[in-house]
Amino acid sequence: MEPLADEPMADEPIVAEPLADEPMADEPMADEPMAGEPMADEPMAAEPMADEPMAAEPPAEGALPAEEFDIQPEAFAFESDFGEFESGLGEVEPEWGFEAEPRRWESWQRETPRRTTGAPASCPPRRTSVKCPPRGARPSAILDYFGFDSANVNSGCHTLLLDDAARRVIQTQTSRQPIRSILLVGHADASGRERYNVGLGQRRAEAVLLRLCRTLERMRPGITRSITFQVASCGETQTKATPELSRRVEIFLPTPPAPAGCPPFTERIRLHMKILARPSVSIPTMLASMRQVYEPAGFLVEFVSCEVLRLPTLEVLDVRCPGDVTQTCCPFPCPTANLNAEHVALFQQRNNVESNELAIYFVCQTIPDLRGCCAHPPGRPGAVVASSATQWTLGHEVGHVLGLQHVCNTNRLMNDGNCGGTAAITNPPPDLTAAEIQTMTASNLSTPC
Amino acid sequence: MEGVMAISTEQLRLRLNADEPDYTSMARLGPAIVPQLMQLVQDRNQAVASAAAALAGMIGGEQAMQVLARAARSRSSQVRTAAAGALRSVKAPAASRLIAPLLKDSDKNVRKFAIKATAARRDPALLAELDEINELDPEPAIRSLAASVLARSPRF
Repeated sequence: MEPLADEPMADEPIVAEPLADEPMADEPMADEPMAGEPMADEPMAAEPMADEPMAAEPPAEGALPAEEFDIQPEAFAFESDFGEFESGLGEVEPEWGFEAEPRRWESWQRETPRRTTGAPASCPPRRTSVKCPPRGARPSAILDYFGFDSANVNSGCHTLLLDDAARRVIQTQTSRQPIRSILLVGHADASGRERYNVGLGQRRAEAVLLRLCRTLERMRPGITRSITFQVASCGETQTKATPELSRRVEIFLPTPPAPAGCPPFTERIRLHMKILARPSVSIPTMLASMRQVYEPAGFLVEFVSCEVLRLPTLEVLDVRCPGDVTQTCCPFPCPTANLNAEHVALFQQRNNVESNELAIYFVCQTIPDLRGCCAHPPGRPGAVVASSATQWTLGHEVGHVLGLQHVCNTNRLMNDGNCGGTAAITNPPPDLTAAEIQTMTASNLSTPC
Repeated sequence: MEGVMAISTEQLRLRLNADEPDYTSMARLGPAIVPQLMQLVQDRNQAVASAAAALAGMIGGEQAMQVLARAARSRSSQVRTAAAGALRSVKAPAASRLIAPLLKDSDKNVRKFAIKATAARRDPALLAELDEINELDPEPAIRSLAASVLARSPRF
């Protein structure tokens, strides 16, 4: 009898102390708060002001200096492109993914293309302040875990997300529907005064705007001249489950209205990265590789959020079956109730992840060793990717979650273990067949654009 | 006899290097592949070496113990963790000799799986080691795990 088959981790504290000797390697964490970790500069509960210091709004700790933003007075003279919607008069079609948008999609198409390359433009760019969009809008990316009362963009997850958003913006510039407008919406947690939090959300949005502008200009000098930027603050009106998740900036990239969808794509797959350990192949490389396979097949792969999880007991994940440690519980189909306690505990970490979106957990290693595993509790779709993953493992595991089985063919993404898996792929990028694309499209985890 | 030269070392390496190695089918190859596993557990590719250790644990037997002993001495913490994980399913009493040093490993993940391997045995010497971990381990999560195992283990 195995006295402790799948257990001991269950009653352990899942979120434990930071591991001083094991920082995320290429992600300096200096200003990045960790999941579940108390904020270092957070006042004690007894103090009246939590997220924000004083009512008189002195320069808050961590707030960026105003001059860095070259704030133009007219930008803050409230001018809402969402006014029509909010007054109930709007008749335009969705563009931001929620029913309030500055202009009709057609107007973007008519717009005379502006110069997109050449001399670098200065950052921050000109921008317009608009009203907070309605609750429930689905952003393209979420940058959360801002420090307490801070508008500092961190160099870990925030940078990954901004790089990815910038790549996507640039990628569309040569398409029929280039992204010409970006909306950044800042939020604060519920601590502190409402008015102060409106300003804090605005500062966060402005900080992300500055960083996004610099990223875009680094990737393609001059591109920001062709993009209209809008910023908004929702203050504390749209808080989430925890203060850390509430302290965020959401990036909205315009979505063309139906039936245009998101051409050239027909389906959308939304991924949320949960990082317990840094993979050997970088996450951007894995994403780029996955897109090499998925995008020609019509799937837009969105990198929606990124969270560093400090779960030291789960960095090396036991994936053996409960009650039978000789068996590996990584079955296909992926949803299964037969997972051990620590495997289940990992998949409980779903901050930001909707039911039809995937959480990808980057762990150090699994026991026994797998590069990836698609097994997940029913209703919590996602996959585990180990540090030893190849550049194709992410796409492979997501393929399993979308319903794809193994095949023995080194030209295919789903090449199986007996044929060497993705490490043995011989003619990159690996292929998806028409039947596999059909299966993926039928999955409720890929949503029509 | 199944297993004798049933698969070449290169083929075995290919299968161990997969995203999801099919351990169950490879374990059916039996003790005949243990010499190959001894070679592969020293592979420069840590994923291959770790998978070789895991497979050795599933095959079991005295020869496989030698593979695990080699893995337990690896310079790679990934391979040592794989060895500690594999020892959980090894019933041979000799496994305790390999678990004991892994309980004192410098890597917390190795210690975690060594503790789990200890939980599967009723070895008073190993339980005594857990007492020490419960008191002195620098990682709170590891202390907590040791305490959890001790609470469930009968003492003699």
